[in-house]
Amino acid sequence: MNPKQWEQFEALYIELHQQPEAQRQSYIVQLKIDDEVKDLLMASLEDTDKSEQFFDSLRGVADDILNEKALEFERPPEKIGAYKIAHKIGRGGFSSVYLATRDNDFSVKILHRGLEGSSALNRFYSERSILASLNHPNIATLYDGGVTDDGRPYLFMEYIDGVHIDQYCAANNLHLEQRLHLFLLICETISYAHRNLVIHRDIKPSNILVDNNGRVKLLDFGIAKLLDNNDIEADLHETRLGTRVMTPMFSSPEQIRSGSITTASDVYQLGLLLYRMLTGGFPYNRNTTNRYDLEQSILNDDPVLPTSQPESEGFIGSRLLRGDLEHIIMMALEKDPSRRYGSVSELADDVKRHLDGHPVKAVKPSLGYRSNRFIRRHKTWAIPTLALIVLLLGSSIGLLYQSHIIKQERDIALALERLSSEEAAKAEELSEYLIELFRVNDPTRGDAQDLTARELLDRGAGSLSNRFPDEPEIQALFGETLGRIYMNIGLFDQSRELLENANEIRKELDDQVALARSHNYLGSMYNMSRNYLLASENFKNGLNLLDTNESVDEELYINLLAGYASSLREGGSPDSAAIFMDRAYSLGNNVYEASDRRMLRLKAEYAFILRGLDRLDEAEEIYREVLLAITVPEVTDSLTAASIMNNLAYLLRLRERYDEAADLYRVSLALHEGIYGNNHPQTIMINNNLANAYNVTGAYDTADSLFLESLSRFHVSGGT
Amino acid sequence: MTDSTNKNHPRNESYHGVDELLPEMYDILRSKAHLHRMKLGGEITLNTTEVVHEAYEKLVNGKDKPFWNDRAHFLRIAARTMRFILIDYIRTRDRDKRGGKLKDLTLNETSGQHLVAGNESLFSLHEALGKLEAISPRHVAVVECRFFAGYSIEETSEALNISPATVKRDWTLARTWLYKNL
Repeated sequence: MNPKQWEQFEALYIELHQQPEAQRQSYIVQLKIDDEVKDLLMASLEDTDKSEQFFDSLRGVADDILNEKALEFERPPEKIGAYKIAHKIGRGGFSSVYLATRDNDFSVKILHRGLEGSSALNRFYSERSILASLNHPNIATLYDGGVTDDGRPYLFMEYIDGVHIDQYCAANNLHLEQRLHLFLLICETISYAHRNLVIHRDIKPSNILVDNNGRVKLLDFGIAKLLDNNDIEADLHETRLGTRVMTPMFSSPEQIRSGSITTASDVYQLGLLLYRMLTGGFPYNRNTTNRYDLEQSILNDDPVLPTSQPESEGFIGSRLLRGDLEHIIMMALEKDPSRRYGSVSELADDVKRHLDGHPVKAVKPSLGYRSNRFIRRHKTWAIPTLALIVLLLGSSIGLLYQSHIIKQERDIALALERLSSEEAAKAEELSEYLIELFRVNDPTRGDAQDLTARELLDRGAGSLSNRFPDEPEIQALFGETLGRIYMNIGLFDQSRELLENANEIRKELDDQVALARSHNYLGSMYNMSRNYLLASENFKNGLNLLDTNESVDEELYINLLAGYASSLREGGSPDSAAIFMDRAYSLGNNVYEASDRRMLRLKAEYAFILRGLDRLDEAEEIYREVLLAITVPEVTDSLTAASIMNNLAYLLRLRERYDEAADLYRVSLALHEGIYGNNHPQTIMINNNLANAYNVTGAYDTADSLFLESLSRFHVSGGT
Repeated sequence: MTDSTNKNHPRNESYHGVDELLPEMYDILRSKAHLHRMKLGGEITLNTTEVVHEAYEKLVNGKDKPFWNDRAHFLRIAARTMRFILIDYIRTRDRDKRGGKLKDLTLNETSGQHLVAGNESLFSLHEALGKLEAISPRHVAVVECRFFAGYSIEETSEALNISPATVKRDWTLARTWLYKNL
């Protein structure tokens, strides 16, 4: 059967059902068509009950299999060798730990079902070899390892009947010196691991147990890493997923960012551990179950000072922490690894110095050094932010000027006179406002380390309406600017509040174009946050405003149209989307040069919509135009090119031009590999697409090896 | 000042994202299994629809930089992922059997047999879908939604952006063809 026959089958089936029921059979018989299609039509009349029953029962099977799969995830073997497996004592993302007994108690860690042959397996074996290489009284001893009858690897380890170290501190009311000595013991143990080229990467209270006799054991080298591993890229990704299944609370900023991970990550985690052992608390926003918010907090927020933690169980008291200890902790928690202690021993030495009553090396950072760091650390967008604010300063004055002219047309002379003095006052006011944003003199901030870009934004947003109560234009402009910055960094809640506010203000003013522009911002924000209904409402409002307005802002109008189309398409009205996109497209043709990036973006968007409507000829032609335009040397934008190639290839697959599709996928794959590396999900996806294309052409061997490659890349990248 | 083109919208068509969704789904499956065991003392009663919806609740409400564009896109990926999970599991089992490592199932005998026969049917369904993909990808998507994910007509219509009437017809036609070609 081929797609043509299928189309015929579909069309005739519809026609068939317009016939009276009694005549359907004879209707089929008289048709002059392939037997294959005829048989199918017949079957569609006769076998519907049978096929329905069959699929119903098969659905039961699917659920059964799902349950079986789930069971497999959970069930431990009853015995391993001569050891009886008792209850579960711990569970991580990739393995569970059970109590195993014979004469003595042991703990046995068993890989979860379904992960055989994945990167988790490699990690499991890597833990085994790491543990085997470490021999330290404070590291849980490895006794044995093997594979269960059902093919899952396991590790037999020392069983420790103890509690988490922070609970131990709190429950036994340890005094400061005792806690610090415990902490130094951990530092010594981690240093030992570092000397043996092992980074732990997962130091947290639940991985450090203390038993009744006060013996301390460090557990779980499950994501530990040998320092000399060369396969950095794949490995870092792995770590990301490795921590993903556990609590992300203890991830270091560089772990979250997937930057290079060195012994400095262990220094950071030791800082967190000390923080916890002394305060019972956590320095970042933990009132969230949302991983994203937590990560943002770890990346951007200043740690709450240990002395500012609320009284809670385990809190040693801020009197003891103030000064040296606080400085030591804050230095270990520096977001920039290079500003932390250079090694775990340096951290330990500083703690020892404090214990001995000597001055410590950690110091309170100075003010000038803070603002320098703001620029350096947020270089990528601190500068654009500053530039934007400076720009804004200029443009808002310009705008004010304009609106004042309009308002006071009848008395120009007077207005001009007033303006000049008002202008001066406003410029001064604005610059004061900006300076204030950068000032770190808020008493509640205490000894906070530095001003983050995010904080700067929040301050700006917070003081906006207080600062300019009588300057609606400035309020609106600032609101829009800040709102769009929030939008671009994906903080849609903050963005919405600011943009909606600015929009309300604009409604009171009489500049219709500015109001339309404000609707365009809102629409974009709603599109990005996938609220297509509100998005399309805003775009529509913007369009209506411009339609009834004489002044023309073509670019804005085109953007509104395109945004409207995009919200309609995502909202499930592809036909209407095409109509508006068509308008945007033809307007764009008049306004932009053919090679203008804005025009190319419109085209790609247009093709995408046409493809969804099965208008494949047109879509293909436009895709090809865009490709041609962006691959000329001076415009080369390889990422856009790669994604357009992917879309075009998809279209070609729809048209059964598999060889052409494969060619495009190959180029797109090469580009993706160049940009993202081999194991990035995007690259794997393209690889997989290429395999799909081969699969249909019958090049099964090629397809097979590509599929396998996708799968193994996927495993390397940490999937299961 | 152009913001109207959404930069966060990779135009990845088809069902890309299965790779990314798979580990998440396994994780949900694992934690669901755990929960059910705690609650029901060993009895697990999960169904594919429930797991997909759970995944939706968990993943869509977590702002963890989604790789899908909208709910419809998510539903499509999830349906295909579910197909992959089931088939992959059958494959693993079969491989174990060939290796002589057939383990006792905790299922009773009748459902055990049901399962073996069902395994084969499911696997041939999967293979038949591979052929149908070349003839009409849309119908494969409908089968994935209706059969593997267990979506209602309305959900399938939402996922694939086709009318409920078309879903119904597609599902019947696909069933007819598959039944003949299994």
